[in-house]
Amino acid sequence: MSKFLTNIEKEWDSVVDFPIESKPERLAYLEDFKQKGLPTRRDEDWKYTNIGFLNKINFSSGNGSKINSELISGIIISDLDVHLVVLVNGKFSEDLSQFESNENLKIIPFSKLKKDNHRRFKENFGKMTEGGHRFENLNRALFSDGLFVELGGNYKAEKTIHILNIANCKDSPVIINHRNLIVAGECSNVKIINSYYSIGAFESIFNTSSEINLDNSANLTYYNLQNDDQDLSHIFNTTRSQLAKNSIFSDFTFSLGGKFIRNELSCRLIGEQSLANLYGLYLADQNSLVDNHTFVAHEVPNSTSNEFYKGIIDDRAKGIFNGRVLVKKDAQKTNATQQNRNIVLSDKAQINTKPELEIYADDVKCSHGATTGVIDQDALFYMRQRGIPLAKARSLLMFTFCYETIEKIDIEQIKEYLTKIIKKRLNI
Amino acid sequence: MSSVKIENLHASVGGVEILNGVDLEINDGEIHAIMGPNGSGKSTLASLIAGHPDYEVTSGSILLDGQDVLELEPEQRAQKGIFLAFQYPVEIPGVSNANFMKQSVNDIRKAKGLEPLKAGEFLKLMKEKAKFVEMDKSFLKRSVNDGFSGGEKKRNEVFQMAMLDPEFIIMDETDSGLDIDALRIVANGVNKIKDGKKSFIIITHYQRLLEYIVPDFVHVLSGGKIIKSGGSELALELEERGYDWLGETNDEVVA
Ligand SMILES: Nc1ncnc2c1ncn2[C@@H]1O[C@H](COP(=O)(O)OP(=O)(O)OP(=O)(O)O)[C@@H](O)[C@H]1O
Ligand SMILES: [Mg+2]
Repeated sequence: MSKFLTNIEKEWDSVVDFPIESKPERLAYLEDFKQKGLPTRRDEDWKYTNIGFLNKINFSSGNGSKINSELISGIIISDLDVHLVVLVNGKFSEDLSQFESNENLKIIPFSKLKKDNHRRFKENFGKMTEGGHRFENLNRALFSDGLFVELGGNYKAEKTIHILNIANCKDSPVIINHRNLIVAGECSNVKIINSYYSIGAFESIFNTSSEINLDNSANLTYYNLQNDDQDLSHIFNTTRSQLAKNSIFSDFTFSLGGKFIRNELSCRLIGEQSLANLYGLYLADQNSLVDNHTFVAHEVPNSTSNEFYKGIIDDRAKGIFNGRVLVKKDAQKTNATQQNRNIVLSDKAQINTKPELEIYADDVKCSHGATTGVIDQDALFYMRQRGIPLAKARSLLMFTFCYETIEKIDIEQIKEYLTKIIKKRLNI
Repeated sequence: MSSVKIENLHASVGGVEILNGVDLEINDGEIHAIMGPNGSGKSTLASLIAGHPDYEVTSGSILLDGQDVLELEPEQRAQKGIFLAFQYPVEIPGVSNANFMKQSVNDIRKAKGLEPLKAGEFLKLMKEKAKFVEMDKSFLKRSVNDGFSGGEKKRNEVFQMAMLDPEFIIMDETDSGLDIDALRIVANGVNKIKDGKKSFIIITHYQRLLEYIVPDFVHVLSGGKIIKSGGSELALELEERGYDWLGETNDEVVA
């Protein structure tokens, strides 16, 4: 048995019955995972993404010493008033969290949830991840806690919800299996941040699995902020969304820091006039890897998707973009655009980009494009001719490239937060 | 003050020789016009003076006030007062004209050991210079040259020139694509900037601009060489007679 599986077996031993799902109910998912094992590079979906590190890290779900609440103020987004839900090593932390939950806006950790009291939970939990991929099954078997968010019909959440995943790896390497289930009722409106932070000198492995359901005319914006440790943090982040009629789902995935990041995002447009916006920005340098796999399924007529991913790869880093778009036979008048733009800064940096379009309807507007280039040399010379030093001109041009995505965010504080991080990365 | 001395300049790009022995001497405050057929090497000469990394100088020298310019990076040349108004100004989506100029003005100031301009001072300067070239304020907020019409781009070059107050100015076909009013504005701009100390190279195909900006000398660049020089009356003669009568053409470099 591989070291990874041995460690997983140990984790399984510590899994306890959960009020929402008993241990025996979760066994099947573990069995499934064990049977398939870890993906290898022979798997088409993992062709460019090496996860050999999983067999090298001696992880556990760990406990770690206490996290100081003062630390939180340094990792959250300043000046943004949020419902803050903190999970430490995958478990809800009452002390560090600060939020209000009520009938219109339920924010409930799984560990506190009685599923029979929440119809929408029962209806949706585990539905989208059923039959999912290996890491989702692993998550289902081992999840230590999670967050249920439900918005009642017509409820417009004023405050953004911030789910902060902290890995406490002060004492040993840590694996975190944590889930989110988000149900946005009819005509509701909410913005949610999902971010990662590791503390300590050991490795962290996050395996997040999220299900997001949008009822008719719901509007949900989801920000994945990944700005974690460059040497120690590993993130597997799978998000599945389902869009009913007239609903709008906007996903932002910012991968700005982490040794390894694999995002899988899927959007099923199952209601007419639904709209999915998928925006991604990745900056990978040193020895890091950022992999974005997206899947958009247009299943009914008249739906729209806009996908716009871009990134800068430097040093020996690797970027992978795989964007699959499926337009089913009945999905006439689908409007789907996909764009992936990359800047590669060093000879040793790599980018693998692959659009996969499967279109079975005939009256559709679908476009896609992928570009990989270097910094615009003409613009660089133009700026230098005006007295701007080379390094600064380069940084300015790269910042501009990044800002195109940041600009689409409609929360000023998040914009500023990301602008700061990116400027720091680019030395401006 | 700025005097420029170009001696026996040979240059190539991608292994092809484009300039083969250019000599040109410009004293403080002089205006030199360079004319010549398409593809004869005019823009190449301009790019070389500005330090474009694609062009390789195989022999010869360029001195600015006695200092060897070829050793300097493009930004250092700009900081020393060399300004090139591009034949094809570059679009930079996402960088506003105002921000671009702020970086530019302050980087040049920094190189001279000056403090950056205060926000208010900078704004005032920008408004004044925009007015000077009759450029609408809305252009300051727009991304550099992004979606500008041909004429607007050229006007933006003159605006930048006014902002940076350079010493040695090369205008590469700044008059091409300008309507008559814009031409007058650009020419007035140059005439107002000219202070008897700044020196100019004006690259043009038309006598028209030279009616507004009267050059001290006119040179014909052909086949990578200056094949004739004269006073401002030479431009008129070229307009009437073309280049053929000068004998040498640039056959060898036309692809
Ligand atoms: N990067 C390059 N690669 C290959 N050839 C080049 C390059 N740049 C310039 N050339 C060639 O060098 C020659 C001179 O070009 P240049 O742009 O200097 O001409 P010009 O005199 O400015 O012409 P015009 O009046 O049309 O602007 C041309 O034959 C051109 O094709
Ligand atoms: Mg030219």
